[in-house]
Amino acid sequence: MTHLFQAFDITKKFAGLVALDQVSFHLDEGEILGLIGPNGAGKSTCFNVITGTLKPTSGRIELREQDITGMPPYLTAHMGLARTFQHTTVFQHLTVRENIEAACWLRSKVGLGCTLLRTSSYRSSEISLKTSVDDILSMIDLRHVQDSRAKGLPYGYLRRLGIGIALGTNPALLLMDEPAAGLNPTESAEFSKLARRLRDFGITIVIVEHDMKVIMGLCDRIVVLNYGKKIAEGSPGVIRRDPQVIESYLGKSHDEAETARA
Amino acid sequence: MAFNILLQQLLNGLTIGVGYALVAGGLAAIFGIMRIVNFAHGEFFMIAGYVLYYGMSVLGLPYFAAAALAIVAVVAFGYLIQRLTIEPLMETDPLNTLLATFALSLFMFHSVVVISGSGGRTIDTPFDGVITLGNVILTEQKLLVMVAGVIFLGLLAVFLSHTPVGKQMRATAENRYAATVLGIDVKRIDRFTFGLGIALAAVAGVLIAPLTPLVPSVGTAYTLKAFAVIVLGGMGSIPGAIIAGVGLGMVEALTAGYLSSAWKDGVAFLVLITVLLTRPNGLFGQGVAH
Amino acid sequence: MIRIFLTAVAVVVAIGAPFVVTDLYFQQVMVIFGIYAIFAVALDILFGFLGVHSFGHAAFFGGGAYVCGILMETYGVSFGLSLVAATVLSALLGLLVAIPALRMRGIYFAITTLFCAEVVRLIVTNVPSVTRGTMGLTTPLPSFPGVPYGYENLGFYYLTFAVLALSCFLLERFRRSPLGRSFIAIRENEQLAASVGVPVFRIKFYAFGVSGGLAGLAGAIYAPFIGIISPDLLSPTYSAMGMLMVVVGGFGTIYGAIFGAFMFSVVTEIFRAAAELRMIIFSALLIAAIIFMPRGVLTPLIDYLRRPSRREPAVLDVNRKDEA
Repeated sequence: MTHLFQAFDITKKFAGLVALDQVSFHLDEGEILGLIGPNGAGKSTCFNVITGTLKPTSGRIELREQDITGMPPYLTAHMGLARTFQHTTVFQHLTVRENIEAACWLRSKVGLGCTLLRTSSYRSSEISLKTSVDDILSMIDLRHVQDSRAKGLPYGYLRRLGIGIALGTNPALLLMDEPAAGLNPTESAEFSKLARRLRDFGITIVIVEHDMKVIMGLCDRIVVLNYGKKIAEGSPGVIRRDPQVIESYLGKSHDEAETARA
Repeated sequence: MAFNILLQQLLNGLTIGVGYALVAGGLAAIFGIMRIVNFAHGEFFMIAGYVLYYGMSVLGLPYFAAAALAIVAVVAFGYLIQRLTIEPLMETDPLNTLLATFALSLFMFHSVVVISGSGGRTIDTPFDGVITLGNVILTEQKLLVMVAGVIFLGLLAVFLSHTPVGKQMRATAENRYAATVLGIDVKRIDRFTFGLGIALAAVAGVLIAPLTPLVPSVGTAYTLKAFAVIVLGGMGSIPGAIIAGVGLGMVEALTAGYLSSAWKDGVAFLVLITVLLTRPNGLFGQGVAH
Repeated sequence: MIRIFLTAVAVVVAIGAPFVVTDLYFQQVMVIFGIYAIFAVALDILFGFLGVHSFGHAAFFGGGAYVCGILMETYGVSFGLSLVAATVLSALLGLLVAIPALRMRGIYFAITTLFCAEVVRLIVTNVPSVTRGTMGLTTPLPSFPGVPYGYENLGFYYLTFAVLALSCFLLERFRRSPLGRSFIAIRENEQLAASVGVPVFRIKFYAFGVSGGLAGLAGAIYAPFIGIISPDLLSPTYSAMGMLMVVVGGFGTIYGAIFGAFMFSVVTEIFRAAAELRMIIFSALLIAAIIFMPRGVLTPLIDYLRRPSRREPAVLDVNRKDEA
């Protein structure tokens, strides 16, 4: 059977240091996958390699059976892969609505000529774009503040806006880098609800997250990294009982103490 | 015979190169420590030349007295400029200091044009004798440039490595934030660094100005050369700037001697753009001042 | 509705002005203002829309001037054709500069653009057989269709303001479009823009071409209007002049650039300040603007005026005139 996304043996070395060591995993359409591991396990590297921010040293990445290894981010976005950033990353000086509009580059099919001449195709595309933006704003529940500037909005709103920007690309696969970091329990719960809604909408999701409650409650499947290697994979129930995972998490503080001493 | 010409060109190049090394050394210190690009750097060189000219012609001062006056005046002016325009912009978008110093260079250039006109001025120093070494000719002023240049660069090296302030400057260059944590008064270091960088430019100005007709546009020309030098030497590296400065002087002299003097500037810029494209960190070093 | 009305008024005023004020000197100042405004708008495409800070735009302004001057003077090419050639060649020069420059970031970018302009200046200075070098190149006065001999200023006036109005109209239309939104996204956050599929490099590259071409067109009108051009046109002074107009006006708003050009040409002309004194005043003004009004003079003013329902005061009318 074919998967939506597959990573084959991806390895990434930084000046001799192996950050990712032959990691393979796959994604099926409509699932929510959690990518977890102790600090420095290679989660962020993995994330950046997939989105094209970093080029892997070796290995191959496929989306819908097409090779996307080492493609720059704007092209992976074109292939249907979107991401959110660890910190609240939005277009600060634009309004909420403009933020989403700016992110709809891939949806807008009219070129420069049509824009400047304001042809009928431009007009019709403008109308369909408006509908898409409205839909996204409803999805992330920010319609009521659509004309406020992003700068100065509450933190929880900005996180949702970050997701809305990623949705602007109409992605098949959405990667989220610590989406629940800094959210209070109510906001976390809201986020989980939003993620499920996106999944029901047909978007496959990968989440890198520290908050175990969010991960365990939300993910269909979890991949665990430690020291750049994949040490476990399975449903939340399986992962929770996996001895290697327990050890890597419990041993973490021990290891860190040792590194600090050295 | 041909060898003598080569030697003569290299000697000329060395003189100009020492000037570049002084100007670029100051620019590298300012960039390395303050992390700002001083687009007005060459203008301080130029103004030092003009103060020297007026000191000698209007006040009737002897060369060394006028030179000392020029250096002190330019450093005082530079200090004022730093406090008024650069310090308020230090923690803002880097583009602001870039634009501000660019505007500053225009301000200084056009002020000199208004005061002194855009024509050339010549400065006569007491060192107008000629020393002949075999077939190679060296004017006394050029000898002075080399001797004084080496002394000042030596003093700079000693200062950076052996005085407390010099050590603090190097620490700030290494890591601005850590320097603050260590209790270094970074603001004071910035003021000092800017003054020091300007002083080096002024020293170069009073040494080099008597060698050529002094025109207001020489400032911009030196700014551009100094940029080329610090890019070649690795941004912010003072030793890199000195080596690259002397090297650029030599290459220019050879280009002028064997190709055409009109194109010597172009060769420097083309080399620079090539280096920027292929080795963005410069020819030497990682771009950290030491 | 008000927009359309104001625009209509501006067009009528712009068309009618030379008939009401027939003073030759006034017309000259207005043409210079228009040319500077085109140059500033060209620069604002990079500064304001994309956050790309070119320090070498004199290369395109001066380059356009030289192409036009050489074609008209040496080869006897018609003015219209020279304008087109100057625009196209300046645009190509823009693309050529963009290749090395866009690989650089921050200050390296600034230095590279500055040096590219210096290389162009050096070339122009050192091939006197083509450019007359530092002697300067004289350019013949063109004839405009329908404009009687001796009234060339009128021809220049309408040409300049037609170009300015058209470029502002297209840019403003573009700025409000979804495509324009994505451009501004690049200025706001390049990495984020790339992550949603915006081809950042390609857009900057072509924008450099467009900006260079427009700046070249401004230069191409400038050359025969002034009558003699020298390599000074390619010096950092002119690059700075462009930035000065954009920054003083406040970037990212086309009006800001035009306002800056207005301040630079008309206001100083009123005081009859000599060219050198003008540069001193303006560089000081620029420094003050950077320190005290980092968003420029006009932008905060517009923000302030938009909030309450007050209507445009005199200051804005001045700019509206050229918006068309």
